Amino acid sequence: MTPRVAAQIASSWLTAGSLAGLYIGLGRVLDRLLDGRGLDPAALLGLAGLGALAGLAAGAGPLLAAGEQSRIERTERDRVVAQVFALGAGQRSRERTGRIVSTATDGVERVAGFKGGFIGPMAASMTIPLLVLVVVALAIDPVAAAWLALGVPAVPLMVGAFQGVFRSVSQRYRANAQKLSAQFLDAIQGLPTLRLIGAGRRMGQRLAEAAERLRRHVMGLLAGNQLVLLIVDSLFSLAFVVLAVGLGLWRWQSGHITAGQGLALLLCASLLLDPLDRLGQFFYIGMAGAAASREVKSFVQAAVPLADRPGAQSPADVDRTAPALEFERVDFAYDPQRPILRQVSFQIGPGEHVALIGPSGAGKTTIAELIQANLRPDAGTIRCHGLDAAALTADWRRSRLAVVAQRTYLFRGSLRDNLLVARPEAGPEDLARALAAADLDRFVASLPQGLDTPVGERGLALSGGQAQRVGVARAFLADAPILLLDEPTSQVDLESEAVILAALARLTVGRAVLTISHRASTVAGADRVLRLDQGEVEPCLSTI
Amino acid sequence: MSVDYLTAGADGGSPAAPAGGARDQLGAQPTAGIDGDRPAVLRRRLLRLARPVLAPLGWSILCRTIALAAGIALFGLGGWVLGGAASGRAPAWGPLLAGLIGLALLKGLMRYLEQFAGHYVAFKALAILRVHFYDRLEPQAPAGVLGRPTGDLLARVTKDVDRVEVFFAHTLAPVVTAVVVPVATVAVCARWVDPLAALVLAVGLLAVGLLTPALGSRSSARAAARLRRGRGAVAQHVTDSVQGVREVLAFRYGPRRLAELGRLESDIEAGLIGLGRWIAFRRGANVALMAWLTLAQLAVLAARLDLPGQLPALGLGLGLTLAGFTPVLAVEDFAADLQQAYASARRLFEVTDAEPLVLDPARPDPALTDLPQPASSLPAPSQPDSVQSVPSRADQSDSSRIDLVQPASTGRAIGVGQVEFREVSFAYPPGDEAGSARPEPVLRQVSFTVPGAGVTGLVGASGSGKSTLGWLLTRAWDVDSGAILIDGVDLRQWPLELLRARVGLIEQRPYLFNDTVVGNLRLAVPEADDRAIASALALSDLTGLVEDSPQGLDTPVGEMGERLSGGQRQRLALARGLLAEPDILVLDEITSQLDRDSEERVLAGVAEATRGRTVIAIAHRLSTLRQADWIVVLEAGRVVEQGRFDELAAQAGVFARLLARQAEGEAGSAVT
Repeated sequence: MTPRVAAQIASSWLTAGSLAGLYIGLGRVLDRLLDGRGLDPAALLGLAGLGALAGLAAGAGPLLAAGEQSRIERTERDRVVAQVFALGAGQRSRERTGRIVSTATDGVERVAGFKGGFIGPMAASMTIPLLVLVVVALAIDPVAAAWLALGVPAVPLMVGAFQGVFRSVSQRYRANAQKLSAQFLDAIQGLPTLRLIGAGRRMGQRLAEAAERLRRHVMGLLAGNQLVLLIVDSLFSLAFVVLAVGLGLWRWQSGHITAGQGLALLLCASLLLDPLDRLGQFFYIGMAGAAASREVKSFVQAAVPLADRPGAQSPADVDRTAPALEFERVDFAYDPQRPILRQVSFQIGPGEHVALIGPSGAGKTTIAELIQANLRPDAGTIRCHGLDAAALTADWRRSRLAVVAQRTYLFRGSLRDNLLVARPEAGPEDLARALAAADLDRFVASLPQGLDTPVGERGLALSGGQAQRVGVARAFLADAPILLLDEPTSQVDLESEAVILAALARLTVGRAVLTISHRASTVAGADRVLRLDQGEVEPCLSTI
Repeated sequence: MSVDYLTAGADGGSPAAPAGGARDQLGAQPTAGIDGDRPAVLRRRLLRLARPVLAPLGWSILCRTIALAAGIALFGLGGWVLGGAASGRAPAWGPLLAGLIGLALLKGLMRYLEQFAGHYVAFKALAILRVHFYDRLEPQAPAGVLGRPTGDLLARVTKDVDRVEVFFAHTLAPVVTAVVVPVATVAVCARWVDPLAALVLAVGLLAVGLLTPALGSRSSARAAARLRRGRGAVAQHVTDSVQGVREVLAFRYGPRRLAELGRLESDIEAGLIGLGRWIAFRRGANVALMAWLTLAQLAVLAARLDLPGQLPALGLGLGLTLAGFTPVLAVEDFAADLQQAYASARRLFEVTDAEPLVLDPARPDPALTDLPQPASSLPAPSQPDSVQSVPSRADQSDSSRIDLVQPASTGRAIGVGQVEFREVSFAYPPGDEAGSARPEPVLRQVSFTVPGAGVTGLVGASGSGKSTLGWLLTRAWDVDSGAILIDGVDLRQWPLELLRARVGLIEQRPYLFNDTVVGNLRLAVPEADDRAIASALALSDLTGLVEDSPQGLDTPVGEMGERLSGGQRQRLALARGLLAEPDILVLDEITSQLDRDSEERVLAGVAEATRGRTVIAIAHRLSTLRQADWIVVLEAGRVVEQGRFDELAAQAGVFARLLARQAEGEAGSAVT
């Protein structure tokens, strides 16, 4: 329990205690009146002060909750996104973006609401009746308090019972809500295509059905949850209000309490109800929040398949004469039935330019993923500067590597932001050099906003060729000794290709380069050409 | 009362601000104007949308009224009885207990029914809203969608819709009862207790129900807007992080990315705390107000009533005062969330109000209204005169030197699929993010004719406008000036449905849906039989993929087709396009990710599938255009050359240069 949550409980207690005091005071004032002694201004002032105290304490709760909620939201979301990065690129095809985004936004929000704004008031609700009854016992009548206390354990018992029953329902609800999110994201991102293929309305129908399914789940959940209201409301009105009236009458008639105390007992019964009202009100946050907590937890604690081995190194210095990159009898398969790579061996010397060619689907991209530490070999060894990659941190391996991939992902932001991705400390001159090397300088100069031009999601503002040149500029900025070119011109036309190839020629100078391509025109200039076919690599004898 | 956090999320609520006006910055093209932002307008619109499902709200209101009245009666009766006993009148135990127990049970039951009816309406309404959102967004695509951040759109259709729940489930009934029940309570107090006590009670009820909820409404509205903006930005940032994870890892961008996220969180934090501060203030104020009023009430009653004889009235008065606040306290509760509901409704309407950039013709060409018919049976309608900027026939004949290759104009309407670009100029609309990096016109006065039932190649550097021509042909956008005609009829005269059925575009970066192979195909053509699907796959050289996968046609392709290679994605998109059998097919570099063998098979398949159809091939490898009937070369948005392959290759022009460079590149290393 954090200090803020403890303070929330304390403030709830203080509110209830002050109000109980006020009500008992009211009873005393009434008794004085009945005795014919009139109103006592000082007593009234004191009671007004108690009211003010109750107000202050009641206000502290939401304030503490807001602070706690935003703190939790920040830390939990940080953990989820950090986990996205830890799980890495392989995760993407297995988990839908929409689902992860939903966990990181909606899920985290609910967790924060639950832990920051629910647990404290909930704990207070459980204990406030006891506190009030203690006050009643001391100030009014222990016997009446004892009778009322019989109703108190019913609260936690009932909450526990309901939680057990509804847990699975709310989990199913979350799963459905996530599925709907993912479906909407897929439809919205593909909306241009849907329009093209005339399937917009059909997808609309599918979504409508999914929305209706979600609605039925919600109603199912509510039909059950509202029973809580029914029971809490009737039973506790019965248990506390009716009992308080009955007890007041009985104890007054038997001469144990005064008329004023009897009335105070009724007023205090309202305090016994108040937390229960809140309980019904908060039941949803509680259950949805607990479900979201489990969801966030299971995502954050999922095993990271490519975590660095214990003791993995990030060497400060490397042997510059060793092969920059080496595969030794590497096997890989996504599905054990269908091996992608079999006993693949090759090496790239320092400063050597090697091309890897092969038909589409032969496993070229898999090799690129292995080099980038996005995959790990099933068998065999990958070496980086002569060091076994398994003993190196993924972060260090990536720091030795610059990649220009088939597609360059552009983040939402300006062109400058997208370049600084590769090297945050790059100055204006570095950027200018990189732009010139990537042959983007004139294009950027032609833009009214220059480097501050925003580029849209998935880089839609730039043509494929321009986006690829941003990728080249990034690789320049990254300035790594090993360069991986994974079909960097497969998405652009010849003119752009020529420009990009010229830019790449500038980029490759003095680096070890592996160029992956299915096309001959992009591998001209390689020192050696390897051919990948049927998962096996062999030197390509017909070269040059 | 019961603020529903199950779906309304857990922001803890925000206060009411009828004057709220901070518009969300993330949206685009709000057309509702300032009036559309007013809560009154939002309310009307929401109610109008949900009208078909609103009826049960009446029950909700009725049940709530009874439940609240029963709750107040419980305390009033208790006070009355205790007072009566103290003044010497012994209660009749039987009827008393029966009355109290009956009230307690009635209250619970009515509350249950109220909630159920309210939620029933709310969730029906939310489903309507979600579908409405999509239905309104769909016609705006692609123009209205390509520039918008999809993560933010997703947040709108899921979370913002959820927020509106408060309006339907927890606003209408509480508003009505916050008026009806207190009025009745005050009346009872005036009749059976004391008029002055009733006045005190009325003042208290007004203060708690009207004054307190309005406190800090303006700054709360700002905080609420800031919170929603922050949430939209965070959702977008997370979406980018997930989709760009490869780049994040490659450039070791992760820690910085998290730092950026942390900065975005500050908006959320400021919003939450800004809201929390006022919630705290109002809640505290209400508790203190109620305490003081109860105290004042006792003093008033003591002064006005004749004690101990009128003790029952005093008890009743105190009971009414204590319990009478319940209905008005609800105002503060729902007002808090209502503000966010309005902010969310605003974000929804921002998107749904945007007009599609491309509209169905108000007056379609009459010849096109019955479809499809053989061209020969069609009358020749008159030239549509409503189309602007269409050059006269005389102008046109200058630029059309393709009479040789073009079948004699078959007249109009459903013909062979001849496409004519006349003086087409186009720039991406300002404000549309897809165009923000291209302030320059993409196409300038482009004129050429694509012969029907033949293959035309479009050639040019990236950014020369080839893909844009393809999009314009599907009316993704409308041309800025000039016209595009299919079979002699301006595109803007074609009903959109018919146009998009006739024109197919296979994108350079195709989008595949997170479904199976066959699911993606059936999405385009639901009625396609197995044979048609097998044939489309075979023509696209995908038979091997399907046969090699254990799940065959039911192999999932993953999100955005991630489980397929780039080449497989292109081929599946091709199969999807071929399955629809359009008359005019635009192929945008469909073989750019294929190796030579696969490309040959795919091109052979395409040639077979499109025999007798019009094909516009945006070519990646020029040699594939050797068989094309016509080739158009674009540079920087202008047509610089056109002709047959051999003619162009023989000239010393742009095409010949492109060709030479390619030949040289391929001769340089004869590896494949």
